Amino acid sequence: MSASEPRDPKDRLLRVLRKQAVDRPPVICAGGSMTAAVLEAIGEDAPLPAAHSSPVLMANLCAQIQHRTGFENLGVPLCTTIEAEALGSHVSTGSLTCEPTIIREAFRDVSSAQFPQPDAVLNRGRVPVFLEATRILARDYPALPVLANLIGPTSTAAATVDPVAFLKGLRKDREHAHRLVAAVTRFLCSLATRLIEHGATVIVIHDDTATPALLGLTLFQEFTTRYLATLIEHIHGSGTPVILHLCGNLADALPLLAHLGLDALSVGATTSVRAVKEVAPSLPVMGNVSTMKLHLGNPAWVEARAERLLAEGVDILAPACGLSVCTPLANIHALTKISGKAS
Amino acid sequence: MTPIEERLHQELSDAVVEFDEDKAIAASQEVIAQGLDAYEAIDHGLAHGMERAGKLFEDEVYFVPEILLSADAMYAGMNVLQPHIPLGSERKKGRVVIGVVEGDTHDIGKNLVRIMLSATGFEIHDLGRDVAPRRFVDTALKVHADIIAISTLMTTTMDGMAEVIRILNRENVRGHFKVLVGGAPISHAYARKIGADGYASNAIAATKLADQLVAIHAVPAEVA
Repeated sequence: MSASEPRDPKDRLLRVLRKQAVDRPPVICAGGSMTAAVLEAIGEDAPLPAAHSSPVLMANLCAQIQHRTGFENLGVPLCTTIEAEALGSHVSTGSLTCEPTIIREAFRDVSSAQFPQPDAVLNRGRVPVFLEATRILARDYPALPVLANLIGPTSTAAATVDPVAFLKGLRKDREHAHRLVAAVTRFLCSLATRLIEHGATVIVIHDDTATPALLGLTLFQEFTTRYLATLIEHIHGSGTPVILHLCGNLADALPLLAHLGLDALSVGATTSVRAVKEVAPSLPVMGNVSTMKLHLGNPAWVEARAERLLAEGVDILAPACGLSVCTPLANIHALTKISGKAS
Repeated sequence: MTPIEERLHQELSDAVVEFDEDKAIAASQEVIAQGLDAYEAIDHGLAHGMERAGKLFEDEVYFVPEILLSADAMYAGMNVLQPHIPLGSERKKGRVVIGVVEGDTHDIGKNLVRIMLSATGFEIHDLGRDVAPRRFVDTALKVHADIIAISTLMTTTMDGMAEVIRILNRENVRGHFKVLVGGAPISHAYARKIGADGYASNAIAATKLADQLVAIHAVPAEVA
C-alpha cells in the first residue's frame, strides 16, 4: 500500500480533510439538506416518514441509500428540521417523497425567543433518534465515514422565528437577534459534542437561509460567520473535522470563508471550484455537480462534468445542492463510478 | 402637481427607501388631510420608493432584510391611503395567484415577489407555503387569475411545479394562465422543460417578467 492509498473510504475522506495526499477524491453526498434519498434508491416501500422518528429505521435507510447509490459515506439525518423542532418549532412529518418541513416556527420575533438550557434541548423532539442512528451507523459500518449534518446557527435561528420577522430583526433588533443566535449556537455546540461521542466522523454544517446572497455581506459577517466560527472552534476542540455547505453565489464571501478554519467548503452550482481555489488555495473544496443536471441530464453529461471537476482540482466530488427525489439512479452511478477508478 | 403634492410624494418614497414606517404614516396622513389623490400618492410615492429599493437590491446594496423593511414602510403608508381610494377606481395590472409548492416551507423568496408585484400594481392572491398543486389551479380558476406564480427553494419539491402544469393541461385550461416559476434550484432550462411561460431569478426580474406576460396576454379589464 502506497502512502497515498487509503485503507478505506473513511480514511480517504479524513486524509482529504487533513490536507494529506490521496489516490483520488472521495465521492460523497452529505445527508441533511443534501440527502441521497432518491426514490429509486429508497424504493416505493421505504419506511417513510417513519424512519425520521426511529433510529433503527433511519440507520437502515441511510445504509441502504449508501449501498444503492455508491456514495462513499453515510449521511444522517434525512431532513433539516431536527434542530428547530427541538427548539420548539412545529414540524410536519412529510411522506415518502416529501421531507419533514417546518409548518410553524416557535416564536413570532427575535425578542420573544426563549430557550431552555442546551442539555435539556438534547432530550427533545427527534434529537435522541438522530444520536442513536449515528451510533448504530458508526458501530455497524466502521469503514465508512458517518457524516452528521447540522443546520448552522443563524439558519437554525431563522427556523425558530417567523423567517420574515427574523430577517427584519437582524437589522431592527440587533440585541435580541444576537441573544437568539448565541443561544442557538450553544445548543448546536452541545449537539455536535453528543454526535461526536456517538461516533460521527465529520460534522457537516449547512446554512440554508443565512447565506451572503440573502443577507448581504455585512449581516452575513455580523451573524453567520461570527457564530459559525464559534461552532467550528468548538467542534475542532474534539479533533473532528468540519465541512460547511452554503448555497448561492459565494464569490464576495470567499475571503471571509477562507478564514473560518473549515476543513472543507461545499459549494453549490453557482460558485465555481476554480473561484474558491483562487481565493483559498489550501482549502479543500467539495462539489458541485449540478443538482438539476443530475435530475434531468444523462449519465454521459454527469460523467463529463465529474471529469471536468477533477481536472479543476475538486477535492471531494459531490452533488452541488443535494438531489431531487426523482433523480435517476443511472445518473448517480455515473458520478459514483469515479470511485471505481484510481486517477 | 402642486409643490405640496410633490414634496409629499418625495417623502413617501424616501420613507420606503429609509424603512421609516412613522414617516410613511405621517406623510400619508398629510396627503389625506390636504385632500390630495390617495392613489397618486401610492403610485408616485410609496410604489416609487419600493421601485428604488428594488433597484438598490439589483445593485446589491440592499438585500432581503432591507427589502422586507422597505415593504413594511410601504404597507404602513398604504394602510392609511387605501381606504381613501374610491372602490373600483384602482387600476390593477392583473391578478396573480402565488405560493410555494407542497413540501417546501421556505417562503422568503415568494414573499419578496409578492411585495414587488403588489408594489407595481398587481392584485395578489397569496396561498402561502406548502401548497398542493391542485390548490394553485383551483384558486386561479376561482379568482380568474392572469398569472400563476410558483416558487420552491428545495430540489426535492421541484416536481410540484410540473404537476401544476400537468393539471392545467389535463383540464384544458393551460391557455387561461401564464405560469411563472422561480426559486433557488430552478432555471430557464427547467422552466422550458416543464412548459412554464417564464422563469425569474429574483423578485425584480419576476416583476418585469410579469409585466411582459400580462402585456402579451392582453388582459381584458374585467374577466369575471
